[in-house]
Amino acid sequence: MDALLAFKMVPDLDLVTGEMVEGESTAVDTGYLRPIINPDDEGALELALQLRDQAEAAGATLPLSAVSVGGPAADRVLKTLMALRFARAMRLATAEDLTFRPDMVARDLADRVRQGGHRLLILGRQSSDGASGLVPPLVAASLGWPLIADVIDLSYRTDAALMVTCRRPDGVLRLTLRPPAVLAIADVAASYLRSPTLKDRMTHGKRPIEVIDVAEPVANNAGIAPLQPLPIGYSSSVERRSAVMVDGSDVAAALSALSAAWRGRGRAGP
Amino acid sequence: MPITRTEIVERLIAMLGPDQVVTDADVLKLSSVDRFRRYEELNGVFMLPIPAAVVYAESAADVSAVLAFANDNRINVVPRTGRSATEGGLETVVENSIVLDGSRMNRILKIDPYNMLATAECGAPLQAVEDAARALGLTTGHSPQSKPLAQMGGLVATRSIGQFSTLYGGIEDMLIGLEAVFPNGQICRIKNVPRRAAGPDIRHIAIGNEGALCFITEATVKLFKFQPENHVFLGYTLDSMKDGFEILRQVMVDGYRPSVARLYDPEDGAYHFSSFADGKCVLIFVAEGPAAITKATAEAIEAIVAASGVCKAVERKVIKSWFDNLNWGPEKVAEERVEIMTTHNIGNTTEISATWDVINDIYERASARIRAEIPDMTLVGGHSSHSYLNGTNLYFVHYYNLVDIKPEEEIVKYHHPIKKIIVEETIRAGGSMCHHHGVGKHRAPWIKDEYGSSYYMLETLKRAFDPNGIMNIGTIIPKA
Amino acid sequence: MTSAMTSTEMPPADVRYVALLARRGAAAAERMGEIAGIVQRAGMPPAAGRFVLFGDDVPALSVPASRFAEPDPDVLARAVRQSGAALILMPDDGWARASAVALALRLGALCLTGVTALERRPDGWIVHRRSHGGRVDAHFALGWRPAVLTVARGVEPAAVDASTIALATLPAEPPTALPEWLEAAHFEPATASAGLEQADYVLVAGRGAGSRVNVARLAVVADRLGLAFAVSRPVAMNAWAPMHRLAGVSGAMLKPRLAILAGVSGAPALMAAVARSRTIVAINTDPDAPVFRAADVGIVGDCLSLLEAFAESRQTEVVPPGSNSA
Repeated sequence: MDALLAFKMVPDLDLVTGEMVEGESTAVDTGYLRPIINPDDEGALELALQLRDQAEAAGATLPLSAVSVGGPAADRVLKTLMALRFARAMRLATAEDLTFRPDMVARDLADRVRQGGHRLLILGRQSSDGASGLVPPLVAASLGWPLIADVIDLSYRTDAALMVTCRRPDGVLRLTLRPPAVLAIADVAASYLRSPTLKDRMTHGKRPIEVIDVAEPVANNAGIAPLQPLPIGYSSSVERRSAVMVDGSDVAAALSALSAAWRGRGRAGP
Repeated sequence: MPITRTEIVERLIAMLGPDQVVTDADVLKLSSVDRFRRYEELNGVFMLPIPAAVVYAESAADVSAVLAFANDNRINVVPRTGRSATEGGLETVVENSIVLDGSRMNRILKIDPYNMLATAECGAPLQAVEDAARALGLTTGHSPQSKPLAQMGGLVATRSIGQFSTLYGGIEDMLIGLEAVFPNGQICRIKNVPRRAAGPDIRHIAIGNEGALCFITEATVKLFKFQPENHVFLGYTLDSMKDGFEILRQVMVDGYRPSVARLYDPEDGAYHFSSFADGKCVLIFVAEGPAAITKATAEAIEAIVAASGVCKAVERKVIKSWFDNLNWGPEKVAEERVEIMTTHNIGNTTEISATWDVINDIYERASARIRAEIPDMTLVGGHSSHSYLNGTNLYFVHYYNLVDIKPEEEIVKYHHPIKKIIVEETIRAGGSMCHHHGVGKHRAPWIKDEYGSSYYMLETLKRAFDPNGIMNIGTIIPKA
Repeated sequence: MTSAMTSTEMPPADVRYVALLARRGAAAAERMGEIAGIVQRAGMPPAAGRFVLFGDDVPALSVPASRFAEPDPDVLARAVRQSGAALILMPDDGWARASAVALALRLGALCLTGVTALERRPDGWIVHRRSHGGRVDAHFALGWRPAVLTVARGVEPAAVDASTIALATLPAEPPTALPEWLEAAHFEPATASAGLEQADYVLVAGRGAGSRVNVARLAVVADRLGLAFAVSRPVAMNAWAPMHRLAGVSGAMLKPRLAILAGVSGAPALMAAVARSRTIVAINTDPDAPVFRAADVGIVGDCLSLLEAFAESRQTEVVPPGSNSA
C-alpha cells in the first residue's frame, strides 16, 4: 500500500474577530490571516501517520507522500512532513486562486495519483475557506475509485487491506477494504499533526521538497467538470446575538419568553 | 499535638459555615496543582499532598479569620483567585493545607473616571474590570495573555505584566492602593494617592508576594483613556535577533514608548506569523495613546527601522489581526488540552530579563544548550515582549514530545531541566530569572542566587510578616 | 447493541436509498428551475430525514443502496431524467455528496454542497452556501441549468406543494453482495449519548444559583424538562455539583440547539463553552450581567423560581423540545 496525502493551506479563520465582509461584496480578504493546514486535512495527515505506525509495528512498510496545490505557504508544512519521514513532499505550484475551483484541484490531484501509482488518496472532506466539499468525490469519480466518506479512523490490517471507520447519519460503519480508494476525513478526534523533533528535522527534514509547475492545463482531465460556478458575491453570515430583554418580575412575560425560545428552536436542526 | 485534617475542616465550617468550605475529592485534587502540572492533571495523576479544604472567603473578615486560625495552628495556606498560575505557586506541597480562594469576592467597587481609578475586590476578573472601564471609554492598560481568566488579587500578588507594558508598565506601575490581610489576621489598607514620600513604598510588600506574605483582598488601579482609533500597527521581518535587540534598544533609548515592542526569533515567529515570517525574525510595534503621540511614535520607529537597513516591512493589517488575538482565553485552554493529549506534545515558557548588553548572549547560550542537552525537543524559540530603557525581557518557548514517560515524569525529564538551563544562563550573565510569571515553587531553588546579598531583606520580610511560616510554603522561598 | 454485517449478509431493508422525485403540474413544468426533487435515505433519524415530504402511501422511487455503498448513479440518473427534475435536493453528508457528484456528472448538471438558501430571480436560481469557516455566505448564480444540491443540515427545504406532484416509480433492487473492493462491513448504530457535548438541550447553572440546594433544585428542573444539566466552573469548584457536570475549559464544550443559562454571570470560561449554541436564554438577577450581551433572550429575574414555574407549566407536555419535528 502506498498512500498519497493531499492537504491545502487555508487562512486561520479563527483569528477573525469581526465580520469578514460588509454588505454585498465581490471579494473576501484573507491575505492578512496566517495560513494553517486545513483542519480536516490536518486530521488526515495525523491519521495516516498513525496508520503507518501500525504498519511498521506489524513489520510492514507504508510509504506516505504528500501533495498540496497552491502557493509557497505549504512549503513549511511539506518540510515538516519530510522530517516526519514522508517519502515525497510535493507542491503543485500555481499562481491561480483555486479557492472556488474544486474541479481544477481535483484534476491536479487525480493526475498526481496516476503518475505516482498510489493506491490510496487520503484527504480532508472539505476546506474551511472554499468549502465546496467537491474535491474528494470529483477525484474519486475521475479515478474510478470508491470514495469512503466521513472517515474518522484508520487501522492497518494487511499489506492489501485496511479498516476504515466512518460516520453514517445513524451510526458508525467499519469497513475492511482493499485499495484503491479515496478516503475523505472529517472531524476526527485527533485533528492535530504531531511535531517532529529538532533531531528528526536534521536527520530527515533536510531532504528537498518538490515544486512542480502545474500552471499549464493538464491534458488528461476527463471526468472533471466545473460543477460549481464561481461565486458572484459574498455577504456576512455572522449572526450577532442581541438579547431580547424581559423583566422577570412579570412572570407571565418571562414564561412566555421561555416558551417562545423553547418552541422556536425545537424544530430546526443544529 | 498538631491539629488533624478532620479538626481543620470542622473548625473552618464552624467559622464560615458549610457553604464556604469545600471538601469534595475532585475539587481538592484540582486545587493541589496549577498549570505547571497540567499534564499530570490531564492524565488524572495528582502526586502532591491533597489539601484539607478549599475555603471560599466572602470578605476580608473571612480572610482574616481563616489566616488567624491557620497561623495559630501552623496550617499552610495557599491563597488563590483566578487559578491561571503557571509556576507552581498554587501547588499544595505539605499535608493538610488550606486553599484560600478569593474568587467569590468579585465585586467591582468603583470606577472613578475623574480621578482615573478603578477599585475591585480580589476575585473580580480583570476582563470584567476592563469591560467596565471600556464602557466609559477607558482602559486599565493591563492586558496579560491570561486576561480572560486572571483575577485582580492574583494579578497583583504575582506581579503580573501585560502585553502593552512598554507604555503602561507592569502592575506595579498601575497599582495605586490595596487592602491585604496578614497571617495574624491584621487587615491593612494602603490608601489611594498619586504619589507619596512617606517612607518606603509598602505597596511592594504585597505586590509580587505570591501569597507568601499576605492575602490581597482589594486593589485599586489606574485608568487610561482608551483610543483604539489612534492605534498604529507596525511589523517587520529581519535576519538576526541581535539586530532586533539593537532596534528595540534604539527605540527605547531615543525615548519612544510604543505599547507593544516585540521581537520574535525564527522558530517562535514561524509559529505565530506563518503568513509572512518565512524563517525570519519578526519585529512588531504598536503605538497607542493620543493621536499626535502615536503618529510621532510610529514615525520615529519607522525611521529607526529604516536606518537599520536590515528590516522588511509587513502589511499592517497582518499585525492588527495578530493584535486582535492576543489573549489566552478559555477556548484556547480547551483546545490545548485536546492537542496535548492527542499529539503528546506540550509547550511551556520561561521568562527572564536582562540588560541590553547581555540579553542576546543569554538567548543564544540557553537556546543552544536546550537543543543540545534536552531530548525530544520540537521547538526551541523565544521572543522579547517587554522593553525598558535599560534592557528587555526574553520569553523562552519550549515544546517537546513526551516520549516513554509516566505523566508525573514530564517535569523531571523535560520541564525542570529546561528551566534549569535558562535560569543558570540568565543568572550567570547577571539577569533576572523571573520576568513576570513569578517564582512559584519551581524557581524557588535558585532564589538565593537571584537575590545575592539582598536575600537578607527578602528573608527578613518573610520572617517578620509570616513568623510561623504558614503562607504558601515553598513559594518564592524554598521549602525547608 | 451492535449489528454485524458480513459479506454474506444482506443490508437491512430499511436503509435503501429512496429517491422522491417530484415535479410540479403541467403548467409549472414549463418553468425550468422549480424545485423538483428531494432525494433522501429512508429509515434514517430526523437529522438526516428532514426532507420527508410524502407519506408512505405516496408512490416513491426506490433506488437500491446500502449502508456501505451509495445508490448506483446510473439508476439515479435514469430516474431523474424520467421525472424531468431540474433541481435535485439531497441531504448533506459525505456519502450523499459522493452521490450528488456522481449524479451531476451523469446529468451534465451543476453540483453544490451545503446549500443554505435558494433564491429565484428572473434570470435563474441563486444558491447560497457558507464559505470561510461558516463566516461568509457565498452566492452562486446557476441560471436555469439543472443542478444537484445537498442541503445543509438545519435548513428547511423550500416548501413544495405536494398536491401537484407527479411521481416516477422504479422497482427496488437491493444489492445482493458487497462490492469487490469491500472485504467486510460492520455497522454499529448510534446509541443515545448522555454526554453533555452531544446534548441538544441544556440547562447550565452558574454561581448566581446561590447555593448547593438551589443547584440541586435546578438539576431537578432540568430533569423534568428533559434538559441535560451542566454547571459553570465556580459551581463545580464549590462542589455544588459533581465535576462531570462541568462545562467549559476542562469540561464539556457544548453545541446545543437551546442553552438556558441560569444564574450564569457571563465569565469568558463558560461563554466559550456555550458560544456555539443555536439559541441562548440567560436568566440573571443582575440586569448588567455580561451574559446578556451573548444571549438571544435575557430574563432579569430569579432563575430558580422562574424555571420551576416554567417546568410546572410544561408539565402536561411530556415531549422534549424538538421531538415534534419528525
